[in-house]
Amino acid sequence: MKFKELPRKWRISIISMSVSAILLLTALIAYVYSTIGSLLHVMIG
Amino acid sequence: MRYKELPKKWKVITSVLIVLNALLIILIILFTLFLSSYREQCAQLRAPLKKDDSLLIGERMKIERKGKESVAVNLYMPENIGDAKLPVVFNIHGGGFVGGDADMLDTQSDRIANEWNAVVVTINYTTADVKSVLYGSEEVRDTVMYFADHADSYFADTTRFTIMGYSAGAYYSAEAMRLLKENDFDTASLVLCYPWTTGLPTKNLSSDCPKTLFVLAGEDPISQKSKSYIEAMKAAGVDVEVIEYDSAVHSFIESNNPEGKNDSAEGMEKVINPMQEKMAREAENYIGKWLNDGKK
Repeated sequence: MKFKELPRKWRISIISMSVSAILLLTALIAYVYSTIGSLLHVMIG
Repeated sequence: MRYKELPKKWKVITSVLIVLNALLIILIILFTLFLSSYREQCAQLRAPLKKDDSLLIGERMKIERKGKESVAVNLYMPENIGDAKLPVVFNIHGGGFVGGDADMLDTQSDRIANEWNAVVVTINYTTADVKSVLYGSEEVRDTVMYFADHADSYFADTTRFTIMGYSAGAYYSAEAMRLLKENDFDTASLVLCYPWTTGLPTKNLSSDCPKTLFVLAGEDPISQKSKSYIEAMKAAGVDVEVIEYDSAVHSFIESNNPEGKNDSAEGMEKVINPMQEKMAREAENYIGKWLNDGKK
């Protein structure tokens, strides 16, 4: 079964979870960078 | 269609996405807990370094900044202030970016204020566990600019401003110098003692940078690692001088003071001992003379 053939409910669920995973990953990276990013930079170079 | 009725491929994709989202939320929560605990630990390590106000030799001051938090500094004036304006030394403590305190330099700053006949300012910059390294460097820059703007009140000669830093404090000093140059304010000199140079940008170095003295410790890997930065400075045309104490160890200058000889100094026998103390005083004398060589 192709994505387009999935019921609308499942299409929305999969798209929502994909977007949410991308946003959460971006938030985590931004959070680490904004808090200890500069400390990591001076430690690692 | 229910979850059970989905084709296997879409069941796997849906499950992976659910696990991934849950994992990312857990990671964010765990990082928040780690950060909070790390900041708490760092604050606990810094707390004993703070001296009671009644014991502090210097004078506590707050440097107010527009739209930003104020900066806590300690001020040391020499006992004999004549008519001539005085050089100003901004004495920046080390502590691995997350430790240390300006009060650690209390006795030393009072001594060098009198021996070098200079105004000495120690700065409690915000450590990197709380705010970025750039933020701390901006606090150093703003403190320097405050003393430049209020030079008459402190008998300060704005043409003889020096930033002197130890270890991580040297990193903040070099960054503050770069920020000051961007503000069109030139410091007279920079003194970097066993500097932490990893991550320090070299692209902005030029012959316009102030003359720089490196004080290195022969038994210190951090000092040895800074040699590539020294070469980059020389290659950029900066007036650089290097003095190395072969048997000195990291932090020998500021640790061999009463503040370094407290309870937390257990196991520090290699750093705090008469031989290191002798070299520390020699280094201070050398720096004092080097600064006076540039006297206008």
